[in-house]
Amino acid sequence: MKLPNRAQFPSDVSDVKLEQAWRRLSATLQAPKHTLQRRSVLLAAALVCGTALGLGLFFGHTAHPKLVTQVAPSPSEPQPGLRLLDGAEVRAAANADLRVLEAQSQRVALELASGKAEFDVQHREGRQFVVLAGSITVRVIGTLFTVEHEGQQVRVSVKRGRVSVERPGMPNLSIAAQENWEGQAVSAALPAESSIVDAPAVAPRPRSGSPADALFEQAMQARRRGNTAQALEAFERMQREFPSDPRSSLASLEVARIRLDEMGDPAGALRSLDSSAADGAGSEDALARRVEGYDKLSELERCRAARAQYLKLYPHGAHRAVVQGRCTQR
Amino acid sequence: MGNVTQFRRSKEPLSAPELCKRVGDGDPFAKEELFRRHFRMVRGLSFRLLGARGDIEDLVQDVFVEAFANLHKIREPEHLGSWLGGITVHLARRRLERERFRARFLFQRSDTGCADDSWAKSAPPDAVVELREVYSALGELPVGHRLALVLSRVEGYSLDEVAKSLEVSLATTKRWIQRAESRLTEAGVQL
Repeated sequence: MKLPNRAQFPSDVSDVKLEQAWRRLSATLQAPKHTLQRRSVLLAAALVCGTALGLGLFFGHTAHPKLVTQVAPSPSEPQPGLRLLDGAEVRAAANADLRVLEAQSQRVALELASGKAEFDVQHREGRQFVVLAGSITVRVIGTLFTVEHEGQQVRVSVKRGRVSVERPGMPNLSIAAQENWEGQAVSAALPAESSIVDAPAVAPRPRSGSPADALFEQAMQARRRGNTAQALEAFERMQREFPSDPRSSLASLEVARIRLDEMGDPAGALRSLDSSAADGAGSEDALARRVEGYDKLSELERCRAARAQYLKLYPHGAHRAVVQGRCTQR
Repeated sequence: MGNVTQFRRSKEPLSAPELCKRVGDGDPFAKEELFRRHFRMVRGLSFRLLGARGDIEDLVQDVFVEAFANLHKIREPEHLGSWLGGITVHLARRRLERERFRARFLFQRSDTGCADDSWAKSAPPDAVVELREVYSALGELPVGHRLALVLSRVEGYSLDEVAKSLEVSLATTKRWIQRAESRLTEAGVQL
């Protein structure tokens, strides 16, 4: 036996390993600070939370956070909240129903189902940042702005920078600093009524984009309207016709989601995930869907392998509990 | 228009001090660049310090989390690689000592698994088997002795560098290496 020196040491680090490690580190760095702190602090925090929860239950005030990114604790005004990895900051009111639809390096999409949230977003080349409020899409150009969504009414207030407001079937509006826009989020079949308030009207900006942009938007619009068949068709076309587009991996994930949740077709979902070589296919969501697909097909060995991979890569992942409960013999 | 900082992916390779500065400014591209630039070095060092174990990736993650949290404290940013190496050694030592403590006082056997995919595909199987035996022998040594030997013999650190990395005196470093060498020789390892 011989102890080799560094140059003779037969170790190997593949690019795949590097990418996996970077994804895992990004998720860790994005995680709330408490996951990075020492165990003693966690225990103390758990004790305080437990006491608070106990008191809350005792007085009949149970909290029901609907979504993972419901970030602020109480009043209706935006509170200090979530900071995304790329520096964007989201402050949502306690009653805001805000969810992250996508958080990829090329695109961040948040959906404000109701309530008020403030977004402080720095412009980043090659990254789209959009906020959806019903049928209204607020596309961020690099700015500080607030979106309020109550019933069908949507109000966008821009404090700094500029945003583009997109309404189905109508020209886009560009809203500059100190301008507000108020309009109705309605189903896409109906024209949205809107008006600029507290500010002069701005000229409509013509919509432009590549065929891939148009197809992706079409798919997303169909998805938001709940038109599953149309969304599925458009996402599958996106996969087929623009395989090298960065959003293709998201399209494959959407196809998998639709096939699993709405069509009961786990084999089709897995085919969709397999067909995408882009980096989103290996994302946390995709891996969780893979576990679900194998579980539904009762392919236990593959299911367990995918589950082990998920738990290794995302030990604090959002789907951890669900993934852990899968791959059991029925 | 306010003070919006715009971050862009740099086309030119950044110097280490510039990279540190940009990470400090919150540039996510710089953070990724720092990781990509040093991942292989950190992972390689972790592998050689711990052997082919299943928790190497955890150590690597810990190193970068620690590094990003403390980058503002770096005194010589031009020596970023060495600084990361120092963190790797420190965290590997802590990990091994914690395991040793658990085994001795809490009777907990460490179950770190093994990382077979860490070996080079071109590595001859007999070399891999041999190295496993070497690391098994290293596992019997006190943690300080083991790390001093690996840093000196495998990494090629000078005695001063080993002493600095392990935060012990030069005399202690020499003693540790000497004892480790004689224990390994007894176990049939050629040095």
